[in-house]
Amino acid sequence: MKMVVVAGTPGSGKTSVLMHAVKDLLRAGHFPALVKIDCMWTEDDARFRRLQVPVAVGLAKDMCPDHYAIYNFDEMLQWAEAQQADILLNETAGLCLRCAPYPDKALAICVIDVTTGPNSPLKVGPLLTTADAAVMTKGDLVSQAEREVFRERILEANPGCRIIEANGLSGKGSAELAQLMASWPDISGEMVLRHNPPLAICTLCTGELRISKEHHRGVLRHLDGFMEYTGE
Amino acid sequence: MSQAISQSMSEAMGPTLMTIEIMPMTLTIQGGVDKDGHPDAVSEIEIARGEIIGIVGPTGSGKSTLIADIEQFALGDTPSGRRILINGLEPAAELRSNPRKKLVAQLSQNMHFLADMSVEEFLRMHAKSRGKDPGLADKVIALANTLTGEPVNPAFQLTILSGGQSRALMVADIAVISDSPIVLIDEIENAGIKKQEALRLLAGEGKIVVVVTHDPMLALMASRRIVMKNGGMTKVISTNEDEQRVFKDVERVDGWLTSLREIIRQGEVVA
Repeated sequence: MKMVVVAGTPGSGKTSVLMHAVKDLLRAGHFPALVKIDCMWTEDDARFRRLQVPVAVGLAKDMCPDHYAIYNFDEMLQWAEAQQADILLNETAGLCLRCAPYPDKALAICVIDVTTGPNSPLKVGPLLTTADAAVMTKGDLVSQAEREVFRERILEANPGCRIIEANGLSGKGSAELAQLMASWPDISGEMVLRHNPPLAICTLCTGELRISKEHHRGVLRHLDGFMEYTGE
Repeated sequence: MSQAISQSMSEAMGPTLMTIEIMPMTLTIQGGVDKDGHPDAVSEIEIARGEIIGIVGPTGSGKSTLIADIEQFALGDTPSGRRILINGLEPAAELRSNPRKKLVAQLSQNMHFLADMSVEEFLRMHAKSRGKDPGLADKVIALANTLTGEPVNPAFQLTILSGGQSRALMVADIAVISDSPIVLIDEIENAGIKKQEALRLLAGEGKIVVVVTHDPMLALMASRRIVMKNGGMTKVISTNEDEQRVFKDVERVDGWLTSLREIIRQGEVVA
């Protein structure tokens, strides 16, 4: 079984790019199964079901969507095996940019929208810096020079990564992406995350609504960068 | 890991063109299919170094798609199914994506920059991405200012430039920084800049130039033109002596219209 984790900011084109890649994988004789993780609601599963591949949806609800995905990787793999799939594709919700839900042995793909400007690769953090491949989308909306500057910025953030220019509308780049997925080694043994999730938890994580500082405990970071532990 | 992949990919693709040291002498477009899946009537066309070739056809007929096929060196992996060969060979993956080895410069229809950077900062970064001297930025700005009315200042934010200023900067950027042996130009006449001068700058010497155009003068400057319809390449027309006689008239009329436009732009009265 191969595993592919696709992350990226909301609206960057993860689903559209993946749909084209799924078609290419099917054409090449693979059996992909897809798990879509979202926060509150999604209808992307209906889009994927049209491609006649097994689709499962996980809604994280009150849990951090990336933590939820990580916590459920075992279940996803068992489900994909039951579907007799040879590639598990996991599309994440992609939100806070602090977590990178990439297991070390999976193919980690970060989808990033060129129209967000050349500073965005520096803002995305571990989602991009620990990815194996960056997929640049919406390149048709900018000049070639802007695409090339964006590419340079991705390489500044993640010097070793493979860059694929893709278009979720036309399907450009999906063949290259599918080929990369198919060439990735199978997962085996115990997997670990490539990057640690955010430090500790605080009272807000467990449901505190009051804002004033006196109500909060945990590992907390001040506006000036000072970090402290408050509590028992 | 990525190196191993590109190696295994090129092995799988058979003979490929690996290095930039090989100057592209010919660009070949092998036909694919139109929007309904019917094969292109033009099954193959070879374009030689030094030639300007036009792409014409109604809007929506697939001109920009054909340009996109060339830009990404399609290998039957785009919706059209077309293949692009350089010197008769499939270009290697490296040549398709790495800007330092890129053989293609492209002026798209985009009229605006979205990058939130100053003109100078952007151009220096673009020069770096192409492996060129960042000092070329000043040269690009000076050249852009010969094509546009109100001058572009290096400290301007890219996003405040007008459509004409942006386009002039893109043209100058291609001429100086993205100085590639294959140049693709999409509807330069819509730029609000001096189109003939811009085309001359972009075409340079001994390049392969592909121009999408609705403009009679630009279309007749091409030695041949590919006619698009419903997404397919329907035929190739070579220009002839009759057309070139018409071209002289068009050139005269265009020169006259350009001078009138300048007079009006400068706030003077047409005599």
